[in-house]
Amino acid sequence: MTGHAIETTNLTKSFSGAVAVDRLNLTVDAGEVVGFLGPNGAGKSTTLRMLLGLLRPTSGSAAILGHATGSDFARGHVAYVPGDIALWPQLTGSEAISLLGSLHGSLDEKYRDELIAQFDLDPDKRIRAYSKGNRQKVALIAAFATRADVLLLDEPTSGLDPLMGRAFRDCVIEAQQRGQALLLSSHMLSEIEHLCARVAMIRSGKLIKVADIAELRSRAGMEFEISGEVGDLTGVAGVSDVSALPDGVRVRVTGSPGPLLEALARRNVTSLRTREASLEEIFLSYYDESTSPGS
Amino acid sequence: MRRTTTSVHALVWRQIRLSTLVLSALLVLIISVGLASFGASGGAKGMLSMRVLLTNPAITALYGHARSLPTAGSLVAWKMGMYLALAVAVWAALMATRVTRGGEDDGTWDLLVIGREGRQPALAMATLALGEGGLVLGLVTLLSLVIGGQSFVDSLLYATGLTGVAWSAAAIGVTASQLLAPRRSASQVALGTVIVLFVLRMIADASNANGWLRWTSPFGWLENTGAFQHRAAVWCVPLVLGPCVVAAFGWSLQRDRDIGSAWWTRADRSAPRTSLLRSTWGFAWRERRSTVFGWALGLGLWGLTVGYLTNALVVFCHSDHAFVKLLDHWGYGSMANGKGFIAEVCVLMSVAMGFFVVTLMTMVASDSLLGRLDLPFSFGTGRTEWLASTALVTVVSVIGVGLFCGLATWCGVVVSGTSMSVATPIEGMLNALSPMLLIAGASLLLVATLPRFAYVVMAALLGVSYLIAALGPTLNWPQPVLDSSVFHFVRLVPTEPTNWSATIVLCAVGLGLATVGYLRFLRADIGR
Ligand SMILES: Nc1ncnc2c1ncn2[C@@H]1O[C@H](COP(=O)(O)OP(=O)(O)OP(=O)(O)O)[C@@H](O)[C@H]1O
Ligand SMILES: [Mg+2]
Repeated sequence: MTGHAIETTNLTKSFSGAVAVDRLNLTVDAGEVVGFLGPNGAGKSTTLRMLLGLLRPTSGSAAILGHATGSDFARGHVAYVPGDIALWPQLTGSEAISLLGSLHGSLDEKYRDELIAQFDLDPDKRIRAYSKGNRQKVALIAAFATRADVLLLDEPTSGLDPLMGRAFRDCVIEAQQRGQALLLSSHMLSEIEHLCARVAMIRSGKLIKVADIAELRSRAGMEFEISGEVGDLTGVAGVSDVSALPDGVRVRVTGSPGPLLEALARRNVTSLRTREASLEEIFLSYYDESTSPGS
Repeated sequence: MRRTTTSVHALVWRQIRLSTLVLSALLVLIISVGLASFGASGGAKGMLSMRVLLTNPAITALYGHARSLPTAGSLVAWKMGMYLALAVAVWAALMATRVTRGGEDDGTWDLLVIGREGRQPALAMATLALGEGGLVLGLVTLLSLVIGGQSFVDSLLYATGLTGVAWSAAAIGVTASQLLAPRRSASQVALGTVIVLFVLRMIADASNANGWLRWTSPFGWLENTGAFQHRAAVWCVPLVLGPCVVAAFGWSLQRDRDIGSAWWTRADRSAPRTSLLRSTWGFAWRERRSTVFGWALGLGLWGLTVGYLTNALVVFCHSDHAFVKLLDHWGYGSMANGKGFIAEVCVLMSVAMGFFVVTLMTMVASDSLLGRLDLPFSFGTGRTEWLASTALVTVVSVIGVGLFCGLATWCGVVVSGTSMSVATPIEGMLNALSPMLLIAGASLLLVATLPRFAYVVMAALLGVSYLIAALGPTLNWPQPVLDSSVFHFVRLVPTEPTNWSATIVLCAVGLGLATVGYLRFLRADIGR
C-alpha cells in the first residue's frame, strides 16, 4: 500500500497503429477525487480500461496501490462504472449487484440496501427492462457497495436525472471521506468543479494539463457586478474584462479584491454583487486545439 | 423509402455474407467429393447391388427413399442430400434470428425501423435478404452438380428443394424472433423446430404407415421432389409457398408489438435467485444451462428415433443374408447387427457434439464482443477463473449430454423390441467424445485470437473434418489428409475397440491448443 492509489508511467495504447493514449503520466492518491476531462475520442475511456486491466497497454505501465494493473491484487481493489452498461439481459438488478459483489469478494450489504433506497432503484426488474439511467444505477450501486479502494468512473452520470446526480455526489463525497481514490471521467464540467480537488485534461491521447481546482479558480478570479455611477475602473490593479451593464459595470478580479474595493469606496455605488467566475471558460480553452493555452 | 429499405437490405447482407460464403464453399467441396465417390465405389454397376439396401427402413429413415442410384448425382442427393439440407436449415434459422431478434436486442433495429416507411418494409427487406442468402446456396448447389456433369433438370430440382428448406428455416427463424426474446431463446426454439421437422421426416421414412408425415416437413417435401429419381416438380410449390406463409405470419405479428419486445417474454420482474451467482463457476453454468438443456433435448430426440430404427434393421438382416453380405461389401458390415448400427450412430453424434462444444466455448467470445465481460472483469474476476469455469461447465455438460443421448438411444432400441445392454450406446457415446477436448482447445484459441470469427471458423473446420472422415477413405485420400480430421480417429465403438493411442494424442493436442489459447486470452483486449 505504498505510494499512490493510481499511478501510470508513460502509459501508451495504440489500436492498429493509431495512438489512442500517448505516454500518459498520472497519479491519484487515496482520499482524492480527480476529474478526467477531454473532448470525445481523447482517450479517457481507453485509459480507464487499461487501469482496469481490460485493455493491455502497448507500452508503459500502470499500477493500482503499487501493484501492476491486471494483477490479482489490483483487480481485487478496483471497481468500475462505465457510461453504458452491458450485462446479461435476463439478470435482475439485484442479481447483477450480487454477481458483481461476489466476483469482487466483498459487498457491504447494509450500504447496498441504503444505496438502493437512495437511488430509488427497483432491484427486481430485469436488466433488459431498465431504462438507461436505471441500468447505470445498478453499476453505481455495485461499485460503491464494494467499498473498493479505487473507483474508476467513466461518465457515470450520463443517464441520471438531476436528483440522482445529487445522490451520486453524496456517494462520491462519502467515498472520498473514507479514503477511497476516485478517477472520474465526465463531460459535466459543473460536476467536476463540484467534486474534484484536481483535474487532468487529456486531448488526442496526451495529458495536456493537471491542475488543482483551487489554482484554476484563483486564475479565474471573481466576478463583480457593480451598479451606480462607478466611472472607469480599467486602471485598477487586478481588474480585467470590464463590460458595461444597463445600470453599471461587470468586472473580473484576479488576486486580492482590495484595490477594487478601495477604488469603489470613493464612488457612488448603489449595489455590489460578487460570484466566483465559472471554470467553464478555462476548461473549454483546453478542449479546443486552436485556442489552447499551451501545455 | 428506398433509402431505408436498401440500407436494411445491405446491413443484413453484411451480417450474413461471411457465413454464406463459408457454407457455399463447404457445399461445393462436399458435392464435388460426393460426386467423385460415385466412381470410386464402382459407378452405376456398383450401385446396382445396393438396391436392396435402399429399401431397408433404417436406411430410408437416415437418408430417405431412392429407387436406384444410377448416377453420381443420385448418390449425392440420396446419401448427402438430407444432411446438406439440414446444415443449410440450421444456418438459415440461426441467421434469421441473428439479424432480426439480435438486431432488436442490441438496438440496431431501432435505427432501421424509424424510417418513413417504418418497420414493415424493414422486416420484409431483412427476410428478402435472408431469402437471397438461401438462393445463393441453391445456386451454388446447382452449379456444383451441373459442372460435375449431372442432369440439369434433376440438379435444378434438388437445388430448388434445398433453397426451399433454407427459406422454410429462415421463415421459422423470423417468426420465432417475433415470438420470443432474447435472441438465444429465439434461436433455440427455431433450431428445435428444425430438428423436430427433420425427425418427422425420419419417422415418415421408417415405415410405410407413417408415410403421410412426409407432408408435414420441408425435409419431406424435399424428398418428395424426387430429384434424380421420379421427378415430381409439383412439390416445389409447398417448398416455396410454405415459407412465404410462415414469413407472412411472422411479418404480421410484428405490426402490433413494440420494437425490442416479443409476443412472449419472461416477466420483466422476478425475485432474485442468487445461489448460482456466488462464483464464476455457478454463473458459467447459469449462463449455459438453457443451451445445454436444449441440446440435450434435441440430440436425445434424435437418439431416441435412431435407436427405434435398430429393430427394423436387425430384423431385416436376419431375414436376408444377401443383404448382410452387401453391407459388408459397402463397408457397412458392422451395421448388420444392432450394436454396429448404434456404433455408426455414435460417430454421427460425435460431429453434433463437436458443434455443441463450439457453441458453449464461443459464448465467451460473444459476451466479450457485447461488452458483457467489462463489469465482471473490472470487479475482480480473473480471466483464468472465467475460462476455467467455462471449460469445466463445457466438459461436464458434454459428458452429461453424451450420457443422456446414449441413454435415450438405448431407450429407443429397447422400445423397438431389440434387446441390448445399456452399456452399448453409452460406451459408443463416450468414445464419440474423444475429439472433444481438441475441439474445445481449438475453440479457445480462436476465442482468444479471432473472437469475431470463432464460431464460423470452427463450424467450417468441423464440416471439413467430417467430410474427410466420411468420404476420404473411400476415395483413397492420402494418409496425412485423413489424419488431419479429428473424426477419422473415432472408431466404431463398441464393435471395435477404442483407439486409445489416438485418443491420448487428440487430448494432448487439445490441451496444447487450450494452453496457447489461454495464454493469448490473458494478453487479449476485452470488449467491443
Ligand atoms: N477498440 C478500439 N479499436 C480501435 N480504436 C479504438 C478502440 N477503442 C477506442 N479507440 C480509439 O481510441 C481513441 C480514444 O477513444 P476513447 O474511447 O478512449 O475516447 P474518450 O476520451 O473516452 O471519448 P468519449 O468522451 O467520446 O467517451 C478514439 O480515437 C477511438 O476511436
Ligand atoms: Mg469514453
